Amino acid sequence: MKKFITFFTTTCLIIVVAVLILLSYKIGGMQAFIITSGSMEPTISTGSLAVVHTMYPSLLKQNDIITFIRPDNVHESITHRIYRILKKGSLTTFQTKGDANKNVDPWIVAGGGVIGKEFFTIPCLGYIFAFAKTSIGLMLLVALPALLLIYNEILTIFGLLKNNQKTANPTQTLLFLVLIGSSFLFFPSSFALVSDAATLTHNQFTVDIPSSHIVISNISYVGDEWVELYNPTDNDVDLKDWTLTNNSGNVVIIHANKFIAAKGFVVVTKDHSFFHKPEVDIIETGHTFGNGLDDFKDSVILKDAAGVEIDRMSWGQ
Amino acid sequence: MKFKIILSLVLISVLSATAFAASRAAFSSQVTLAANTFSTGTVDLQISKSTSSAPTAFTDVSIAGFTGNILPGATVSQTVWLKNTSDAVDFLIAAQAASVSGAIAPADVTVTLTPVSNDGLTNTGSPVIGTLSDWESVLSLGSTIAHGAKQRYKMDVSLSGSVTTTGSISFDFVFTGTQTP
Repeated sequence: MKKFITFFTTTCLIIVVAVLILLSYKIGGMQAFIITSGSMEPTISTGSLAVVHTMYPSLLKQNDIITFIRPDNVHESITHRIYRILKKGSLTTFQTKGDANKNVDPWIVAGGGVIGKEFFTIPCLGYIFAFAKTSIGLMLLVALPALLLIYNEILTIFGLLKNNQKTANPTQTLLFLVLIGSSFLFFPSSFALVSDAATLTHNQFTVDIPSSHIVISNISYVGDEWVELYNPTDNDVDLKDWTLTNNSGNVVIIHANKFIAAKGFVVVTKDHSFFHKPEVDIIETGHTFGNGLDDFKDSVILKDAAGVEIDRMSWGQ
Repeated sequence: MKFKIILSLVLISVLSATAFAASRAAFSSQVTLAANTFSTGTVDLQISKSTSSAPTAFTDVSIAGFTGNILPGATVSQTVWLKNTSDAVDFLIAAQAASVSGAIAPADVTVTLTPVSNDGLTNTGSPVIGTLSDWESVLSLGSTIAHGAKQRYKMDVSLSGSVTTTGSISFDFVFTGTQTP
């Protein structure tokens, strides 16, 4: 009977050690993860040990719980539920969500990032595994049994040398304890990250282009200087007495009775020698902005005949 | 007898190696140690449009967004505060535009979110820039809000200078705080 109990205990311990090694190293397509947070509650509670098995992404279904590599941090894994499957050609990606979270996760999981589908979970077991990773856990589950075992073996050696054979009774148990404790350390963790959202609803911006709205569409401030204006409105706009002012307060005035056509462009420059495209409508002002626009930092402000700022463009820091 | 002594010596060696390897596994990886933390408790992200440097009134879930006129080529700046009222969880913040509709093309509207100091005068992080089309996918703001803390953002909405038609655009802006491990 005693032999049977010893055999049974030994067999059980061997199975436990083998399973732990298999699960911690993803051998046989299975891997276990310690769930360290609560976004999958109540399905998976914090501190559970979740066992996942490898599965082709194409075989995964909506609402499957999967463990995947976090898209924005490859050093972390997440365990969440598939909220939506997105297929584009042969490419399958997943939108995921924690059961306890209000919103879907802020990422799309590629099929290749899926580690596996949840097979089963064991509540609270993760706490024990995580405890083994702490200093105290390491001492109690690994270091202390190992020291006791080493001490026991030393006694055995001395006993044998004195021809007084000392039986090392606890050897087997302690050995298994060391092996089990050590294997705990290699179990990875998976986060079930909690999240919350806050929304700015119904932001609304209205574009109301005034009839005289002209925009500065381009500026050449290096070498030959010119300013291109664009009229996005449906009406021709009279530019007489409109001004362009730079950062230093130098003003260029459009004296001529020039119009900019609806949906049309004009280039304002000193003279034709500054702009060499005859097909473009040019307004010559006869002079530049003071000594010229700054190549590195300056701005140009467009004002209408009443002095109202219509548009501006800046460059440099 | 010799065999038994050798066996014991081998066992001592194996145990020493196992204990050493186990210790290294436990203490050499910061990721492994960090993963020992279990997170529990409440999580809550709240929002405010206050322009104060020390806002007190925050709203859970949602508030009405910004409205106004905008000209082509112009930028409208707004202030958004987010507060992490969770009791233990720190948040990594991301944002996404939703329910985008209107005559103006989303590609013509650029939204820039920049973490700024409480008084709004200094940038405390890098701006995240995208058109509303870009923001229809989730973009990380790269900033973390610790539990109990709040963060002010400058939200710039710009309209492309190439817009030539009148009309409007409407959208929701969803800020998500995801637990940092």
